[in-house]
Amino acid sequence: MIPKGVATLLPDGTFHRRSIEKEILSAFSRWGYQEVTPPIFEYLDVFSLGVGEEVLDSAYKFIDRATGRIMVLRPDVTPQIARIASTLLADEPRPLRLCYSANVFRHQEEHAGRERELFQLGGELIGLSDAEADAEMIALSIEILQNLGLKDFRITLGQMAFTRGLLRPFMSSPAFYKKILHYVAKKETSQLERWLKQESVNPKTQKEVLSLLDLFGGEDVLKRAAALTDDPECLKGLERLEAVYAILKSAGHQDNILFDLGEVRGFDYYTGTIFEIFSEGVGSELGGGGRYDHLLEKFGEPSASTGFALYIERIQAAMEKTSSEKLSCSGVDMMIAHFANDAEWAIMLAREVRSLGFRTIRKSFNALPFHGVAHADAVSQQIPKIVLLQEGAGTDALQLMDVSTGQAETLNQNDLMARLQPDETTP
Amino acid sequence: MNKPLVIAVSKGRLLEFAVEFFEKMGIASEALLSESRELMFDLPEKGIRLLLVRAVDVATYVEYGAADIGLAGKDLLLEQMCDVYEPIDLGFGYCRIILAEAVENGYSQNPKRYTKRRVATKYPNITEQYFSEKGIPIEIIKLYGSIELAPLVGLADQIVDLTSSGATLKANNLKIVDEIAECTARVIVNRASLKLKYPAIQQILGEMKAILQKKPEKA
Repeated sequence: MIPKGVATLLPDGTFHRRSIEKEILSAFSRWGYQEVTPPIFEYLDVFSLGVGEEVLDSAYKFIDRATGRIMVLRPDVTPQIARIASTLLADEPRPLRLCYSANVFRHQEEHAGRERELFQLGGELIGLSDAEADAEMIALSIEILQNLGLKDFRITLGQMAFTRGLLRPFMSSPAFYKKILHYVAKKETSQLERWLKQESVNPKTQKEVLSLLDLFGGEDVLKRAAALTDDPECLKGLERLEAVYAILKSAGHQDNILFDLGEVRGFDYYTGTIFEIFSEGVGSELGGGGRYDHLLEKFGEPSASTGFALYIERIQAAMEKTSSEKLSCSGVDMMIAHFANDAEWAIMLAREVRSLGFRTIRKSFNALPFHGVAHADAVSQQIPKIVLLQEGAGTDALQLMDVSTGQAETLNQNDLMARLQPDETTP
Repeated sequence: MNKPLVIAVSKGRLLEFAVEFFEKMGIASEALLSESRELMFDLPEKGIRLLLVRAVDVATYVEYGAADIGLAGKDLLLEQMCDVYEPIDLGFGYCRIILAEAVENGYSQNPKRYTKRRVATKYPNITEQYFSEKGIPIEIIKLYGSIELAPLVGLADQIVDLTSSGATLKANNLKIVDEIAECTARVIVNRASLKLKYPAIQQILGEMKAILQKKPEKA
C-alpha cells in the first residue's frame, strides 16, 4: 500500500527531474540568486502569519512532541523565505535574491495533476519595489522555460492592486465578497450578472465588476481597464503593469504575454503585479508568482518583495508531452571484471577509471574462465564496455571489450587510460 | 494555430439542445445525433473537433485539457467542483436540484429523534455541502439511479435529486421540501486553453454570447 497523492520516481524520472532542477537552479544562479534550505515543518502559529485560510486548511498538521504546539508540514515556501529574510537575514543588505528547491504538502483530491506532495523551485527578490523587479520575475521564468526547451507557453499578467481596488465596494461584507471572488475566479459571467442584479448592487459597480471578467487578452486590456475606473489605486496598479510590460517588450517577450485582470485566485498575500505560466500539453498552470509587499512585515521586518515558483511535476509533464527528445539515464558505462585474487589491482583500476568520469562497476569472479559470464552479464545489464583483468597479470595486460560486438583488444593500463581520455568517452 | 479546438459534448438530455445551438453557430453537428459508434467528429473547415462523452465526464475532459471547451449541466459542475472557467450560461436544459420526501408522513412531519437522518442521492457532494452549511448531521446514501424509490421503501428519509417538471416526483408520491440549486447547461473552458488558444476560444465564446443575446432565453 502507498498513500494517495505521492509519487515514486524511478531512475529515468529522477534523472529527468534532476536535470530540470539543475537547469533551473543554474538559471537562478546566473541571475544572482542564492539558494537557501528552509525546514520541512514549522509551527502553525508562526507559519499562519503568512498564508491564507485556504492554504492552511489544506496543510498537514501534527503535534510537536516537545511543546505540544501544532506543527505544519509546509504547504508553501514563500512564507518561510519571508520569515528567513526578515529574521535571520534582517541585517543583510537589500535587495536579497534567494531561491530554493523544496517539496510542499497539501491535502487535496488527487486529480488533474494535483499531488499531495509537490516539488517546487522558486525565487524571491526581497527589498525592491520597482517595475524592474516585477519584470525580472517574469523574464527569468521565460528564460527558464526556454532553456528547458518549452516553446508553446503563455504568461498571463494580472494586477492585484487594480482587481482588488475594483472589488473594494464589496469588501465590507465578507460573505458577499467571498461569493464575488468565486464567480470572478471561475469567470462565471452569466451567473455573476444574475446575482448582482438580484442583490441590487448599484448599476455602475455592476458594470465595473462584470467588465472585470472581460479584461482578458492582449495589450488593449490595459486601455480598456483604465477607461473603467478613476480610482487612484487602480490606476496606479495599471501604470505599474504597463511599465512591467514595457520592460518585457524591450526584452522581446511580448509574444508570450497576455493580460488577465480578472485573475483573483492564489494566495491572499499578493499585492501587485501577478503572473501565471501555462504551457501546451498541461491543463493547469506550471507556476506563477507575484508581488507581496506586506508579507515580510508580519515577521517583523517590512520590505517590498516579489517572487515566483514553478511546479516541477507539471514542467515534467509538459516536457514529456511536447518534446520529442527523451532523456533516459543509462546507468553504467563500464564493468571491470576480474578474478577474485586480483581484487587489489581491480580496485585501483576502477578508482582511476571513475576519476575520468566513467560510471563503473566492479565484478569479482571466483571461478575461471570468467570472460563469457562477464560478457553475458554486461549484455543483460546494458553496459557498453568491459575491462577484463587477466588472471595474475596485474594491469599490464588488460582486455578492453566492446560488449555489442564482443571484440576485445589487449592493452596495458597506460594505453587504456589514454584511450579513455575525454575525447573518446561515451556520452 | 493548426490544432483544432476540442469541444466535449455530453450524451443524454442536453445533446439535442447542443446540436441545435451549434447549428445556430453554423457548426454542422447532426452527426452527433446519429446512432453511429463514433465518439470523435472532426470539422476541419471550422477548426473544431467534437467529442461525445458521458455527461458526468465532460468536466473531467475539460479540467485535464483533453478538451478545451465543454458543454455540461450545472448540476454536475456543482457536484464535481472541477477547476474550470464557466463563462456562459446557455439557458437550455433547465432543471432544479431539490430536497424531497414522501408526501404522506414524510420526514419533516415525523423527524427521527434517536438516529441520524438518511438522505439518498447521486449528488453526494452537493448534499453534504447543503446539510453541512445548515449544521445538520446526515448519513448520505449514494445511489446511481431510481433515487425516488429510496424513501418509499425505507432506504432513506429524504432524497436530493434533479427534477425538471416534477412529474417523476409526483408519480412516486414525493414532494419538494427545498430547492437547492437551479441548473442549466453551461459552457466550461480549460484554464490553460483559454490562454494558449487565445484568441480562438475568445472568439467562439463571443459568437455564443451573440447568439444568446439575439434570442433572449426562452423558459
